[in-house]
Amino acid sequence: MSGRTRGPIGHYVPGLVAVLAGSGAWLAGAPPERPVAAHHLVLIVLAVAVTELLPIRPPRGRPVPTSTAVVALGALIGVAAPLLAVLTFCGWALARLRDRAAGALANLVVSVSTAWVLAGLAAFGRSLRAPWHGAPGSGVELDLVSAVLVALVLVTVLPALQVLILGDEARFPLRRVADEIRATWTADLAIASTAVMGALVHRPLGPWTLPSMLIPLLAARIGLARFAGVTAAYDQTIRAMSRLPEQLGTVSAEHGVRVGSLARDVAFELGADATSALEIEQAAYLHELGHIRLEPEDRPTRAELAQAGARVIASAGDLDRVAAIVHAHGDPVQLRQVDADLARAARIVAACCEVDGYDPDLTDGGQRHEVTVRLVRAVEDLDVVRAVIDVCERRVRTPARR
Amino acid sequence: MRADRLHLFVTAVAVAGVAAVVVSALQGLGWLAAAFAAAFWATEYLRSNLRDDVQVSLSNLVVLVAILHGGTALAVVATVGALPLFAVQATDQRLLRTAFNSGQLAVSAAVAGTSYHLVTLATGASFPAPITIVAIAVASVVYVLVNNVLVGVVVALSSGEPVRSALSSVLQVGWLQGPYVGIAILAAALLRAGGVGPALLVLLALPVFVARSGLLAFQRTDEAYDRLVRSFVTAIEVKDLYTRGHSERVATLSVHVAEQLGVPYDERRLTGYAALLHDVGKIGVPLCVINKPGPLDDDEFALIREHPSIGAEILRDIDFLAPVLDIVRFHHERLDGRGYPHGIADDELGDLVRIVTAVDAFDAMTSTRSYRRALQVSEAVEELRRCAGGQFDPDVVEALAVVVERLGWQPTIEFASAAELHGHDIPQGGAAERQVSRSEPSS
Repeated sequence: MSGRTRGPIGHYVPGLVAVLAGSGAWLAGAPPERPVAAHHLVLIVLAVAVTELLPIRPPRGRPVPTSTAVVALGALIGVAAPLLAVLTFCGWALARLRDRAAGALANLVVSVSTAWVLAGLAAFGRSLRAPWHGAPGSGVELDLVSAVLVALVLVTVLPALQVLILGDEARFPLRRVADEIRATWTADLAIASTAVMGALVHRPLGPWTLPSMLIPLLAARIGLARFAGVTAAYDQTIRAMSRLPEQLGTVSAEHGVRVGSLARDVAFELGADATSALEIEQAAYLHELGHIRLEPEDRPTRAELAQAGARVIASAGDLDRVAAIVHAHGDPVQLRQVDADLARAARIVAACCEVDGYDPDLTDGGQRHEVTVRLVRAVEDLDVVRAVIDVCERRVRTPARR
Repeated sequence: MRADRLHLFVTAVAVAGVAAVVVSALQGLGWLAAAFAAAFWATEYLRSNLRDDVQVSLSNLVVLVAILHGGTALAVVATVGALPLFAVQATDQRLLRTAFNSGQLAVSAAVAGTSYHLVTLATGASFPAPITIVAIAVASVVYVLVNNVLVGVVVALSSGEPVRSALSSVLQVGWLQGPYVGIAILAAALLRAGGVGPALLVLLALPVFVARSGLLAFQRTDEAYDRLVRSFVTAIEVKDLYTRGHSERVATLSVHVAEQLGVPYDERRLTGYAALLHDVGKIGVPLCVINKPGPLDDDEFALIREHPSIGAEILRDIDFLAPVLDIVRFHHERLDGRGYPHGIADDELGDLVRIVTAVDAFDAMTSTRSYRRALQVSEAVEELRRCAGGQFDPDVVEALAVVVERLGWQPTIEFASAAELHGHDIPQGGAAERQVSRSEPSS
């Protein structure tokens, strides 16, 4: 996504806020009933290092770091917030010895601030004194409020920190956070429940706790990777199909791909959620598909092309809304009949197609005026026109981010 | 012969399973066994498709917890929970399927439980001593192995697929059950502590739910992907009466031939997609050229020659198809290097390319085209045999002959050829590409 730029310090403010909140909660909280065994501290560092290298990758959305399961376990068994942050840092540093990934510093800020919040809130939960004990002598115990708070942090705060620290500055950050939560909540919940189980039995199982927790999580990671693979194939196939009309010579090279990319950014600019933005992007990729059904010598109208393209897309069976957007983007009669959201989506596609065909130099006042007039005439939606111009201008200013 | 071996194998597994259950039930396990059987039923009820003919569940979790909590007998009796499910859900061969599935689960649980006790026997340690953790990990591996090997063998016996190929494709995803031993260890430790009650179910259900929802989502997306590709291919072919359905037929036959040649499941699947998309580059060839009755002039043939490269170019960004993109790129090449567009030869043509090349030619010969009539299947096979060695791989041709015989394949004669309609001399179909005339381009 082509986002707005933000200074490096600005990126880390949410992390600082999280650390401050975690510190407050930790100072107000209570220590565990029994000290944490030393072997758990060593294992936490090693496990963070291993899991940092093996995140769970949902099909669409950011990778979910499985290291949070380890950190959450540390918080639940009573590791103090500053110590847990240090252990997380050590694990992260060990992992970086093997993989010096780009953007690692931002990931470190997310990991350490998450550790701080988790440990702080777990300590705060303990101060409310809602412990649960298993059978006498079993060593099984857990503070219930801490467990609930840790689960909440994993499902809500972690995705928020990821979006705000790792993502580009967005016009609708809360919507992006909601998208992220929607994309990752199941994986986060699985991580939370696994951490809770580990915390419950960490005394009887001792050093076996972390391996018992992590092996199934890493297996789930492989299963999800297959899912992500087929989803990627789906997206790539749609993009490949956008090239079919180009082979007929009726559309310029990469037109569909360019319009798709622009339409996605414009959709986000207008506050669309991730699902709607994906539909708009797919419709933009495929908006010229009608050419493969109709003969160029028959000189089909824009509406006929849109209708023919929609028919092809609808035959896939899972892209009805995408087909409807394609139909409406080129057929004024259809556009008047559809609901407001769909009409907005169709106008985004139409506007992006128009601007790609014209390819204006927006730094030139005359061309900027001309393209604005053309877009207003083409789509009759000033919000869409403004968003298209804004996104195009931003792309001119920051081409390296694309 | 194959059916006899299948029945014998299923009977042996079922008898072994019944014996294990009877011996275990004699130990009088009561309500605990009923609870574990119910849990086993639930995990089997929520199983997901691994491939068209194999399903996977996380019932191994229940078996492993049962081994840790109550021993092998409890684990074996728990598997009985799935019996009514198999009986109700089987749509065909109900007795055979129910007997095999129930039997193999009981056998797997019995072997896994026995392996656990063998490992812990010397020390006499009880859970959660370190040796018991090692032992349950061994039992988990044993359970997955026995379970998947039995399923792989029955798949091979029922479908005719080579055993090695069936085993590898089943184990490729089936092994993912193994690591869930970790959850079983946590659950057993919690059960041992007592007093966790329904909360344990919730804690256990969450990771299992995520694993299952991931599998279901994978299935749904996989099916959607299949529909997407087919709909686009249909859209491309719809303008050409003569090649309509060609890609679908080539894909179907190619998968069968690959199976006959022992190609593993995942490669067969990819071959199917590549075969389905092999002619996608024809979108760049004018319809008047594709549908021209009679020989093509040089310019027209030059256009036709480009379609494999155009197809590969269109599909270049689909990572999933990268291993089989050569099928699209080289499906008109020949072993003797006289094919097009690259003119590469034998040693550069992979096995999967050879399959699709032969099947493509076979389907072209057995369907009506604008420039000639369809051949009978036997005539097309003879033509392929005649060209084997120079144009086609002889092993592939023989495998194709076996497959079309087994499937009772029929020629596709939906239309009179355009040449015939225009009163031209009707050329005899052959494995060679369309004839190229040296005349001036016709208007």
